[in-house]
Amino acid sequence: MTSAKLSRRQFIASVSGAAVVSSLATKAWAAEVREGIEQPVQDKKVRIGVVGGGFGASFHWHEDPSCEVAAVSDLIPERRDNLANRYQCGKTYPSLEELIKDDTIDAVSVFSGAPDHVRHCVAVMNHGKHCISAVPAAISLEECEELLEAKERNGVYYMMAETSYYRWDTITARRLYEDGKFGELMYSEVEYYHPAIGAGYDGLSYYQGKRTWRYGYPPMLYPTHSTGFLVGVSHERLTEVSCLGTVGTNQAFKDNAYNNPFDNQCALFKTDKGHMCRCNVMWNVWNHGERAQWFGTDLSLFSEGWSGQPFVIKAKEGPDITTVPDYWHMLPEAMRYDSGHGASHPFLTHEFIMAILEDREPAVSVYEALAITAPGIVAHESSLRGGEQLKIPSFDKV
Amino acid sequence: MLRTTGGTLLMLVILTGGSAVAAAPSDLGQGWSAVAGEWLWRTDLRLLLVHKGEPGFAAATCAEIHGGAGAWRCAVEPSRGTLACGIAFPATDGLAGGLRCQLGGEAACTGFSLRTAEGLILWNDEWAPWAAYNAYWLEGVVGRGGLRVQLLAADGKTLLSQSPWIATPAGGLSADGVLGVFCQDGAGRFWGAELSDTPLSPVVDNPPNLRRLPSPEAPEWTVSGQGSWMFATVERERIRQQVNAERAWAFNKAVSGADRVWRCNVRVSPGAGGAGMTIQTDEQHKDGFICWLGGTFGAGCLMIYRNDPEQALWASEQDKWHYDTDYILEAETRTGGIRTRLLSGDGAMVISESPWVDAPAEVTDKPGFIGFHTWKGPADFWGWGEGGAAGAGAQVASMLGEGWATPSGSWEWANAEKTAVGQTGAAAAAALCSAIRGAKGTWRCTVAVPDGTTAGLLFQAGAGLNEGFRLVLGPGGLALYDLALPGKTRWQDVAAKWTPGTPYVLEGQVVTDRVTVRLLSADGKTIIAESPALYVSDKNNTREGLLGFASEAGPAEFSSWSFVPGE
Repeated sequence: MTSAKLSRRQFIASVSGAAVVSSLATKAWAAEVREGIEQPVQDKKVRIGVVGGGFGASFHWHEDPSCEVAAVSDLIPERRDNLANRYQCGKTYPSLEELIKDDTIDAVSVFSGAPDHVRHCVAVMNHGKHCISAVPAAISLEECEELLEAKERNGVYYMMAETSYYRWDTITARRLYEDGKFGELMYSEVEYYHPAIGAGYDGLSYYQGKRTWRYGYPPMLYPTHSTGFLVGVSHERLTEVSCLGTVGTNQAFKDNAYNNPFDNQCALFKTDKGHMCRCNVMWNVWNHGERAQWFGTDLSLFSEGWSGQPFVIKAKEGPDITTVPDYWHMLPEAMRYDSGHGASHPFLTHEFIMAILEDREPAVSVYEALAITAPGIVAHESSLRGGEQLKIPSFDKV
Repeated sequence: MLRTTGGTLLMLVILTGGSAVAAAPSDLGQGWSAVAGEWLWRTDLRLLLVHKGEPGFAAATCAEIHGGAGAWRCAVEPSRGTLACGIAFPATDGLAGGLRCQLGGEAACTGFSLRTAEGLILWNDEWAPWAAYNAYWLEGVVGRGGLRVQLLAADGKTLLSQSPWIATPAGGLSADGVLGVFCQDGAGRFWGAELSDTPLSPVVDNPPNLRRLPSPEAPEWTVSGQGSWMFATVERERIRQQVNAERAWAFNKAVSGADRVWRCNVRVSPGAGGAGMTIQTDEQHKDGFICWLGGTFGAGCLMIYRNDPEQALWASEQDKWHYDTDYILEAETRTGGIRTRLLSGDGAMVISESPWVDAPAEVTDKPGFIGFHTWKGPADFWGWGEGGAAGAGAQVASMLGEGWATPSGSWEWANAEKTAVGQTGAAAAAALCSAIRGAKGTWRCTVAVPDGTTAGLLFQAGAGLNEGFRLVLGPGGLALYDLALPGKTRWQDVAAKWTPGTPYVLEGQVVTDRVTVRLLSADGKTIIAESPALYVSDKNNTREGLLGFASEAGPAEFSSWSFVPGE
């Protein structure tokens, strides 16, 4: 975690307006943080450019009191219009490449297709702008290196908008982990099921008759909705993996751009603490959802599941807890509504903005993002090799 | 376990174990000093002062928040297993002087209390609800000659407990103490500490703590089990079990008998395993039956159990009840038999009903009273009086007949073939077709909307109209509303071109994580307006709902409704 004291100093230094500085100096930490919940933290707002009018339109930039949508862009005019309407922003650019030339923009949200993420994010960061990206962070280890290098060379902040991080059961699991309530978190089961996606008959595999990046997409190159459940709680690193896949019979898994034969993949990871994690990413089973089960020596937490499994915390001592705590209070009031992915979107939005304003690494920093993404890349390679156990490189700061 | 009355002024001396404070504070930064225990700063969207949770007493103080009179407050998120946590104000000598306003504590004082630093309990709300990892505002208000404390929910607005004005303890309070925070035997997260001129809530009549059950003012009520019951409203016509208790019962002896119809309204809170109405029972819930909303959490079945020996007599299919939805539970007993049914909250739709189920005559004929039961979580109950549940019988017969619910408006068939439906009233109106049910897929209807009216399609709608979507056409163009987000427009096309009185097809398409809506020509071939794919709560991925119609401010006619499952 960033030193709070340092970050506050940096934060104060960035504030324009003597009144606010005076307020911070006299009221200290507490009241100032409370102000941050109810109203803009400071006069300065992060000016963000939003790229990608599909999923990118589901975030809450215009509702964050510390953010202003400065411009939007999508290659497709209808989606560009969608962004402009959603964020009430009249300034549009025909492409990301044009948008990032705008010197009035502090940060860019990149919600393009997965194979374009690194290219787009590197371009954003090379223009000195902070960057938040849709998942996955990258789809090859080479891309992971490239992303990390660009972030560190440019000295900007990068965040991956991994939704599992702010699902409320994950927030609770993170609290329990921080408080040592699991005992030792020995094993986890993390899973993401999205029937039909990637198959040739799925609506997302085509746009106006042309194949999209989702056509035949390898499940383990989209691991983050699963791996994020462990890395986002314990910050463990997945170090080794053996992965298997089922060979898809749909045409999409025979002639895709990735040479990917798999429509379901199941990985068994070993962590740097010697723990185990079973990870499913599956497109072709009749199951739904993104969920996890965390098993500790003293306590276990089970996410709600489609089968009827309720959210429940079971501990050696004390009664079961079946009610998910309410975390809306962590957000400004206007952002407190569920727009998808376990209500995580406004949390991701606000965290990215606050990280920039407070001059600190965001929660899902580039290091966490690659620790969540790279294991899936290696897992996919393992499944191509029939389940061979492979080591996963680290992208952490040395 | 029968309870004593809570919320009274207590003058007990209970020394808080291990509350001695350390002598050498260490600087935590931000003006804070650790008095005892290990504290750290952690950023989780906001900056938090965190006690890590080792056993014993831990405290920290902020020298920059100091004074005497005023509203001393801080938000706290207690951790699982933490015995107590709270604020100290105006604290002196570490936390050796001043007062403490705390959540939790030793047996019989586990709610919300005001104590001196020495452990003298000045006021206690034994049944104040709190749960691990939920956040609360603790506030102590020091005025001239007195003080009071209050507990509010994380929004800083919802009052959960409020003491009366209490005389300042002998010896008075420091005019320049500081704010402190503390934890006993566990972790806690704190933020938002301040000394303000304005309390978060003024003194109110009938605060929640004066509405807890049991109460000498409501002798007909008794409670048992591990829950925390209260009148949810100042009118005292609604009760709520408000904590994550394993099992909790409340009984009302004023509603009793045998061979009769029993009714109540019920609303189950998210996370609860089930809730129900027990009838013809006793305080040990040995006699009688329970009509139970159980099965799958949040999407379960209606059941009948005999209380003792516990025996399941009947169960419906799953997915009959959902969280945060108003229902009516109804039961009827006669010699040798019991039956039950579940209706929508307004009584307009029978969601599930049992046949007459055989039961021993010695049970069915034995008079007893009504009670309410929760399992693993909160629920609300009301409408238990002899007058019957609110909404019950009001409109059980649908205006459109079997298979339809018409909770509001004036509905009639628009043709003899019953292929078109008309809404003739001017008020907001809704009708639901209980026969058309689904989740992902394409929902459609044709609607002709006169000038000035707003009307359209309800799709994947919950029986209580608090889940699902409303797609309407009207003077504001084409608009989509998420029924779970009242007051918020999810998407709107004010420029959609349409002609009042002309039939159009309204379409809602639900796929994983997203919803798309369209306005089409009456033949369904020409797209006039179309939304982008809108991300919505993923609860909609698997939640089943109904098809229906809605209109406001005038009549409308609906036809050609359909649902085609997708994905």
